[in-house]
Amino acid sequence: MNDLVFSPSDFVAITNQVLETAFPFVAIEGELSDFRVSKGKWVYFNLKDDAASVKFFGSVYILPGPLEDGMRLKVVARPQLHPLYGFSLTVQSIALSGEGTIKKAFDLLYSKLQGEGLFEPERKRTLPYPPSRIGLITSGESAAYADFIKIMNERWGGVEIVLANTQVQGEPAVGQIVRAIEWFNIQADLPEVLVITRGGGSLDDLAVFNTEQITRAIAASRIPTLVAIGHEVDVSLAELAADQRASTPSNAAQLLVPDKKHELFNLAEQKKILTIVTEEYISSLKQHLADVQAELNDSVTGTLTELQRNLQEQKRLLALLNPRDALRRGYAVVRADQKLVRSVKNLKKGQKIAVEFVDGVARAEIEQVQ
Amino acid sequence: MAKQDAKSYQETRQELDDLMVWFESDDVDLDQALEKYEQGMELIQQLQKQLVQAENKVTKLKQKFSE
Repeated sequence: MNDLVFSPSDFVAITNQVLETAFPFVAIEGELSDFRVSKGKWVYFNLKDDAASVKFFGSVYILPGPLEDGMRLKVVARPQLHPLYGFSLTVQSIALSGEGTIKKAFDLLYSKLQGEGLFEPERKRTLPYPPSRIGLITSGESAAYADFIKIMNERWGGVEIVLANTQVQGEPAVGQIVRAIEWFNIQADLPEVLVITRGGGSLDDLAVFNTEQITRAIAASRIPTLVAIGHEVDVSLAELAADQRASTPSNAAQLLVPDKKHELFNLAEQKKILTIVTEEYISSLKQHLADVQAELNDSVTGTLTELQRNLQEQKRLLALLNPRDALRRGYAVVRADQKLVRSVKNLKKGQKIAVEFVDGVARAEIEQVQ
Repeated sequence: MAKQDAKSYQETRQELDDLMVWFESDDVDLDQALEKYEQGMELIQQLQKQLVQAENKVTKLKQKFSE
């Protein structure tokens, strides 16, 4: 019935040709089973439903994060008949599918990266406030970008913002954002802070910021990072790995720079304070001079009083020694030849003496010395 | 702040803060106090001018980050 006979090699080649024409790529969604990693490089797994199971093969680099059997995945792959190992699908990309799987994958990756210390508070660096140069990674056409720039311009000036325009959702966004982070990190003139932002979206849209690649790139950045993903309920892994997180793109701008209206108010206050401080300084100088003067006065007065007191004392002592006082009390002084006679041994019979009383002098002659 | 300014806003702001601290020191020097006052007023004026005039500059990289 069929005259066509192939060699095995030809059959493999022609099957691959047919497959490539019919399905250059195929997207298959199903439950993950038999997931295994070989030599840290290759991954093998099956996707199955109730009735069938298909084999996949790929490199570890396409994994969105740790996977576990039972997860629901949407895999884009190239069907292929291998000359030796049979039919398989070569993986191009893997997306998590369904809320349960996304949550499960998030938990697995969270535990893994937390175990490595990527989210530790000690790793967090303080952002310069305000920065003079910002590397901004976002979509240049997005509302997030417009909001960020608007608030930056309202609040502060003189900041240089360098925009790396990337997608912020969908599978290509992951590689683009990672490359943008790496690009900024190898520039000679590094920005002072990297801002990675996007507006809110569905859980699927935000999946990009829960990937291992972006989370690791943020954690590895030499430049401090600020991640602002505009969604309220869950925090993404990218935000957890960042040095700082903000709730929205506008909030990012608010955290990055002060408000010039406040700063102008502060400067006006500072002006008043400077005037007051200077006045106080001058009046304290005056007070200081007055104090020194008073101290000097006190010390001079003190010295004078002391001197006077000493003088009075001397005077009193001196008065006690005045011989006139003795004469007044009835004593007399005997002199011979103008000299004071202190002993009878200095006198002899017939010698002339002068006896001095308080009110005059009497002259006499010695009759006898005993 | 603006490129043409030799000092950044923060540097000038720091200079002002340092100057304010001088008034708390025990130095007794009227001439210096008046000089500091003049300097402070000048710095404040400079900062106010910078705040009002400086604008942000946005550069969009031509570089594409798609593979």
